[in-house]
Amino acid sequence: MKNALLHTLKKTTLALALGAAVAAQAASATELTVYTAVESDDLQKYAQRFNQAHPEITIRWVRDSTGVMTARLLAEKDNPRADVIWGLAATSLLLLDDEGLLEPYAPAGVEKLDPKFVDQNTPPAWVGMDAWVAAICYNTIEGEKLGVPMPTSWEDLTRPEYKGHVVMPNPSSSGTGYLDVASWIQLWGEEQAWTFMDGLHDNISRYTHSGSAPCNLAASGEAVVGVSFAFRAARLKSQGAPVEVVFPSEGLGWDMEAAAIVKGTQNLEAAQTLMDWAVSREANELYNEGYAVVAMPGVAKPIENYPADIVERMIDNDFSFAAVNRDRILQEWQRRYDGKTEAR
Amino acid sequence: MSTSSPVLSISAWRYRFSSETLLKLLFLLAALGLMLIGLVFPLYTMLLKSLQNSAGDFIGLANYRHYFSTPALANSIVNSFFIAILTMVLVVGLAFMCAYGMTRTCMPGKRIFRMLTLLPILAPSLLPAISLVYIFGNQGYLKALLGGASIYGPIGIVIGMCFWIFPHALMILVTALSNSDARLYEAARAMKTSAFRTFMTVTLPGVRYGLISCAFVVFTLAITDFGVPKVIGGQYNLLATDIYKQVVGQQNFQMGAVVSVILLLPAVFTFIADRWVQRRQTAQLSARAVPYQPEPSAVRDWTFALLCYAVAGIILLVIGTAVYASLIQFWPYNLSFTLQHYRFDGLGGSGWQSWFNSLKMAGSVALIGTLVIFTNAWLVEKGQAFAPLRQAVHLFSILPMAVPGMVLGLAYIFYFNHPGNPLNLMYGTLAILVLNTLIHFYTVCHLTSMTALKQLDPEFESVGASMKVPFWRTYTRVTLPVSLPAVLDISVYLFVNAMTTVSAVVFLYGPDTRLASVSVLHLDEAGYFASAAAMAVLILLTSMVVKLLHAALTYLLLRKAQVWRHR
Amino acid sequence: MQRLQPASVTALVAESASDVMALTSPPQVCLRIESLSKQFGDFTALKSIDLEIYEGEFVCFLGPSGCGKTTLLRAIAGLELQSSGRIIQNQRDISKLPPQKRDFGIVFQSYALFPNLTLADNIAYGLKSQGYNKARIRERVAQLLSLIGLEGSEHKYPAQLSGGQQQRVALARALATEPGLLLLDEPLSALDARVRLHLRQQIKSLQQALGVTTVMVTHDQEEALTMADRIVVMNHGVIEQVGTPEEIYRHPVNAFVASFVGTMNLLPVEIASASGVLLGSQPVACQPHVLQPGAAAHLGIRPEEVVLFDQPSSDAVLEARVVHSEYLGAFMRVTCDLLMQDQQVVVDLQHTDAERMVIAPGREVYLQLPQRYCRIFAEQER
Repeated sequence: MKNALLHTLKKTTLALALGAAVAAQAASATELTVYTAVESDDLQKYAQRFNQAHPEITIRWVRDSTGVMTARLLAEKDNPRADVIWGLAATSLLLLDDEGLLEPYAPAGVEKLDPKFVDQNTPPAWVGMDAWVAAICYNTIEGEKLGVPMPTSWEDLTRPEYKGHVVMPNPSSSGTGYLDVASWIQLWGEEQAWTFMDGLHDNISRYTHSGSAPCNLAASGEAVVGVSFAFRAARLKSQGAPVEVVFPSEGLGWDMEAAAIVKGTQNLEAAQTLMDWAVSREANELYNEGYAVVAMPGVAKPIENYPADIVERMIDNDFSFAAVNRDRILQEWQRRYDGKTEAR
Repeated sequence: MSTSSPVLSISAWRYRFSSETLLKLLFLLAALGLMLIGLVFPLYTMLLKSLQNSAGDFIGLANYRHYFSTPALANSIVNSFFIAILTMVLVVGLAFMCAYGMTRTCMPGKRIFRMLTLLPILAPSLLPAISLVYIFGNQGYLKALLGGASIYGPIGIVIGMCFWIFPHALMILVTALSNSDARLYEAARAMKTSAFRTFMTVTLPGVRYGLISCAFVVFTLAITDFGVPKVIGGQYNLLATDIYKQVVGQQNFQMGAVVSVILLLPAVFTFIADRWVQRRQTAQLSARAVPYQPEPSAVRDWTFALLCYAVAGIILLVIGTAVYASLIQFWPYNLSFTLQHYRFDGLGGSGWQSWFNSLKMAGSVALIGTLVIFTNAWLVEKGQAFAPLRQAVHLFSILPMAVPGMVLGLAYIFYFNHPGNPLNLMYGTLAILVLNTLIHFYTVCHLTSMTALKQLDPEFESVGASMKVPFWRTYTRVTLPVSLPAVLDISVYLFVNAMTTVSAVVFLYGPDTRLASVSVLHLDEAGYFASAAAMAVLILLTSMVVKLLHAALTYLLLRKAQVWRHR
Repeated sequence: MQRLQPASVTALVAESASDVMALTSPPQVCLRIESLSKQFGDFTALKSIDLEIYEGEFVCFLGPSGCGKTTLLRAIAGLELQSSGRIIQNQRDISKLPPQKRDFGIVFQSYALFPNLTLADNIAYGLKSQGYNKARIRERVAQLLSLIGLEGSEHKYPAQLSGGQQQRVALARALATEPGLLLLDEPLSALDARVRLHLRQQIKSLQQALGVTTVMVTHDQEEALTMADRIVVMNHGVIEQVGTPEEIYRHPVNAFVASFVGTMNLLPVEIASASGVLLGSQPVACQPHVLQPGAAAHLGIRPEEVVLFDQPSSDAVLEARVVHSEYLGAFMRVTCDLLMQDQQVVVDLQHTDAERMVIAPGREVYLQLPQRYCRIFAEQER
């Protein structure tokens, strides 16, 4: 009787000790604060896949749209809060690198990536993940009802029948918005691009804060045409929204989602582990679930609602042009059009 | 001779004396420290920022010159004033008629009307804006009523603001109209004065301070509100939304500081004017006044009843729309019901986690805030010693009312995110949200506490001291229990406001501390309107439950205390 | 005066007041106030006050509102800190001590009973921190309740009592810790007339029975005259006069005291000689004084000291006409115009005399101002 009691006591103690040990290990697991602009639909999936390979590292996501994330990183320049950036526009990372905010690191296996997707410096300050591509969402029901035809080119959007039916993201806060503006300038040159935007501006009913919002607005019928990006458009169409995804004929602006380590991180080792995984084949397959073009050649498989020839239709993007001129272009844009920005 | 040794008790008293006075001093210094760190230093830092360039060099008024030479920015001043004044006229007018109906007529259903009009306060100001999109948006079910005008812009902003500011105005005016003196009306009747003349010469002068105060409150709420224009403002820029756009959208912190200072000015001005009016108002009504009891009059009663019912109907329509929107599969193409929008899976905004964060934050603010604010008010009102210090604490306690949420939030970024500030550990934590919210809503609680404390016998503390009982015993055994209804009011006020506020905290949440109200904002701006509505409804329900619990608790406590409260 | 053992309180109540008085001689100073001043900004509430209060005596601070009497009481309690001067209680300088360190019990006009505590808890409020155990607290509470005639009301709340009962509880609470000094701040002002009269006697007899040194602030001269052993008349922050009720009433030192305590005719006169004045052109004999001939002064005489004749008399030097008469129960107050001067004199008449003389407005009467009652007051400077 007494023995049994003692035995139980021993077992309990052991269990408690074990529990404490497990808890201690859990507590010792590194936590990484990761800043991202990756679509929130997929954040959990990204963390899960990464944790399948590295359960010892916990990811703490901080997500907002590209412009906001960039602003936040700049604001925290003297006092960085993030360990890693995983999924932010390459143009933004170029800017952050200029400010000396990034810790250069060559992830294991980076050489397997398409060199276009890797920073030119050695070791690179950032590595690309995938490309996200401009697209237009067109609500077929409302279009028919209001007599607004489906556009096929950017130029179409300046035609009078689109007046008040077009929604587009504000390039100051939205990465999608900026890649549109930057791509038009690269396609047509400054002068013609601004003329085009003047015409477009007359038809715009609202500039939104985020890049997905125009497509969401088009999907719910609040707008007929939403200038957005392919990922969101394709996703909404798959979900059954009455939208058609339009890839304008002149060419598609695009930007790269990229990853980097923030200088001054307390968790450099864990950050490097994450970077190593971010260039791995598994990671690229993960990116491919949402994006048609990824950094590792030969991984990409075609996905629903994307055209097969998407790579050919993407413009020849000059990231450093987009990054270097970002401030100037945005200032000019604000000067011309800011009265119509959605309150943010 | 008492039994305890006199020598011992004398030395005990001496010890107690020094520790008591010292303790009071410490508490007062702590209160002052709280106001300095929570209000004065951040605002000062912000003011400095508005005079610096992005590199941190002093450039004088250059930012302001830039601001006023940029029409896109300076136009917002005109817009903000236009919206605030229009809202003020509409809300004060409507609220006055409803308040008149509730206090000066025998209209049926006063109680239920009163309860319904409280609802808008319990929801974030984003909720009416989201509802308005469903009602009057391009796919809105009452779109035709607007006759082709767009809800995105001044129309939507004004309607949305009227909705959530109306209860505030109604409460002030009901109080003002309740404080009437029936004897004046009897005198007027005895002199055969016409009803209109009585209204102009007795009723209006009697409530003029209430009306002015109400107008100021509505103006301030309207000019500083962020939630409504954020959601439904379309391309119409206002000061409050400009701050956000400058800071969050365009990383231009200096310009954010400039706009903040500009927004601070009208708010401070109305605040000073209101204090001035309040001071004149005191002792307007003598203690002998007999409350006015309206007599039934079918035409008048039903006229006001219909008006009030219409207002209540609109309130229900707006809230009902938000609830409906949150339950619809895919507006307007698939109207089947679903609960999926309440799952918040895979959407920006942290989902249910943000709701738990809000609960935690609001609970902390209610608990800590009530204790801190009431105790500080007690020190100010009953502290006896250190008069200049008490005056300073009182002044700083009144100030937060003049500071718009957006301004306070931005000021916190500047102050708490400064690398040289040891307090920057707080940045991004729940603690900074609690501190910010506590300070943001400090003034009303402070004034409520002061009113409650002034109603107590001024000699309680003297009696306690004469019996050698330490002040904290008298505080916990007498002051707190006697003031319990006021204390409970404060805590529920803090809870509901912490639950619904967006403006200040939107700059301050961290990765793990995103709040439900901020989630509503983010869900809306990412285009997940149904989920945004769902989160807003969730906040409303939470506030309602807490409010009901509060009502039940107050009822029970008062019933238990009826023996000694009954006079 | 010895402090009382709790057990002996009830025993002592039975003892007669004279025994207590006998114990107090020679009087010991309980409280000494030395050139105490209090300044509120520009306003001087107390101007260099000097005062001694003896063991066991009942002192009233009497004066109009704003005269500084309450400020003086609060300074004694430590609730208000003086600007200069000293307060010494039983040889201990308490000037700078906070209330907690002084030895007094206090009763306020507003009772200041804790509404959420029962009577027992109210009375026992200070006992716990004095080291009383539960049983002794209960015993002491019962004792005090019976002392104030509220036996068995331990579990009632203040709101369940009448105003007079509440004030008695406040008194019991102030006495609970056996303070060496009892301070009463207008304790009766909030009560209605009959309760006030009753409680006046109760407080006085309780004070005599317990022998506790008591200071009461009041603006009611009748209250002061009936309750106090000594009265301190104050005005504009200074003490005008200190004395027994009789001294104050019979021999006021100046016109202010004369008019504030009781009713006093104050007639402007001109000094004629060392014991004579001119009332208008009429010479009037008065008490000896030190004023110079030709100086302006006031002649003070109480209404009941004026002798009224309905017929011309050799003693009556002043002719007058009745303009008004007031019925005040036991006596009648008659206001007369002096025929020679543009002045009025108020006379109190026994009811029977008034009836006999058929006093009515318009009636011509003759007044005598007896020399021994004619006090002469210098013109007051302020």
